Amino acid sequence: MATLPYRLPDEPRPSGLSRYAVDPLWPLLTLMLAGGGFGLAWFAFNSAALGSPTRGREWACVALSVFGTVALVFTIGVLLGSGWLRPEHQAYAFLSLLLLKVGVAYALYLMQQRCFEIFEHYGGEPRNGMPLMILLAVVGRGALDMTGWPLMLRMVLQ
Amino acid sequence: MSRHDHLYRMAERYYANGQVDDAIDMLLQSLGEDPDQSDAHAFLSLCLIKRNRLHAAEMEAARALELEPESPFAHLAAAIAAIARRSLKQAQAHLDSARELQPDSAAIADAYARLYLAWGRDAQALEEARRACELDPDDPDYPALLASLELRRGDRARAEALARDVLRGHPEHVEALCVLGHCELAAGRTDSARDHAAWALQIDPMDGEALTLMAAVKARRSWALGLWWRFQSFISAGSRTRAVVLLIGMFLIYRIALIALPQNGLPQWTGPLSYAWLLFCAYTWIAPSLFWRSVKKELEQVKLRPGF
Repeated sequence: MATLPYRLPDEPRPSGLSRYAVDPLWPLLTLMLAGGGFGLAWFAFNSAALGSPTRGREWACVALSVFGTVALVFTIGVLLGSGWLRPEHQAYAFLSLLLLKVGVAYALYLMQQRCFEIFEHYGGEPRNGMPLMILLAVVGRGALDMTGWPLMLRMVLQ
Repeated sequence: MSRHDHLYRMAERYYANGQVDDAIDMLLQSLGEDPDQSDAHAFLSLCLIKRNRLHAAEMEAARALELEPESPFAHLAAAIAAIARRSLKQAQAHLDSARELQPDSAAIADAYARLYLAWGRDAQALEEARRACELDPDDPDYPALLASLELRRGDRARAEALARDVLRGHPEHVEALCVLGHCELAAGRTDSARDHAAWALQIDPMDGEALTLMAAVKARRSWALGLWWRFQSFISAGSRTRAVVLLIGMFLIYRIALIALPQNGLPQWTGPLSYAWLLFCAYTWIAPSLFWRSVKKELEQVKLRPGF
């Protein structure tokens, strides 16, 4: 009887999407240059493509970034409306959005980076993410800026 | 000898020769046939630590302990994994358990020394390293660690003597090579220090201490790359969470300054600040690849001098 190979807990789980896996550096740069919406979507997809063993945690991070941004925008709006936050301090308060997005992006990057190294070690061939990153940063970002979407949605996507 | 024993011995042999990936393959084969071997899980944990796969290493050590809670080797592996993850109190608890089970183990004394070193308790680390050497005088790892600790406390002559002793019997001992390299560098013999670093990196290109030595040599020769290495060492010392918090903290300070400067009547400073930040980003982007290219070049060029 053939024995099953012993699998280490940090090894990527192979999936049909493996051929679309990229170095997580590209989703990270996309998040910085093209906005949170594109970057987070790419991180979530890359997690499935890499077969990351921590993908549940990674998707929870994506949800935290999206819903956390909504909660922060709402809270800042309430604080401004009630007079607890002075208008000249508004710009500082909005830095919390940036902090949340960048913090989550780094957490996602670090989680996927370890899995990506093992993916490459076992012969996985990543795609070059640079063309898509440039496309999203130039065309995607421009299209996003031209849309007349509600403020809350734009805050999440930008 | 059973097939498991054979695979385990092969793994030990590979590990001793620095072929960690091959050792991992042997242990995976063995565990694929029988996943309930505590020693194989503990040994696999040690191999994974060498490859910096700390999450998996911790899980393997936990599995070893689950299978055999009274195994000193499993406690030792769990402790070494905890030291690598900087969970020092947890490491101490495992080492205390291991020592209770096996009081005269040199490997446990060595792990205590590494724990105290990580904690910054140099005197206790030195005491444990000496104890390890007394308990097992034939293992070259313990005098090499002692040499590194002697160098750390400033006794360069003693460190050099210990490292040379180790290298006489084991010329490919990476830790001893690094200690001797650091001694050469401290004595101003940069070329010799470079030879030691290159030799150590050829044996184990991923060894942190060898990379630190090579970086110190490069830093002595080029201030720009040395600056990057110091920055990189500062950022990456400690956990990955600490590194991320530091990087985001720097970015946040920059963004706060961009808002605060115009609000405080200094709008003329926002331009220079932005350029400085841009330069910093470009530098941290370019410097690592320059650094690694130059290290690679060094490794290609290295020829050991007669009498090395």
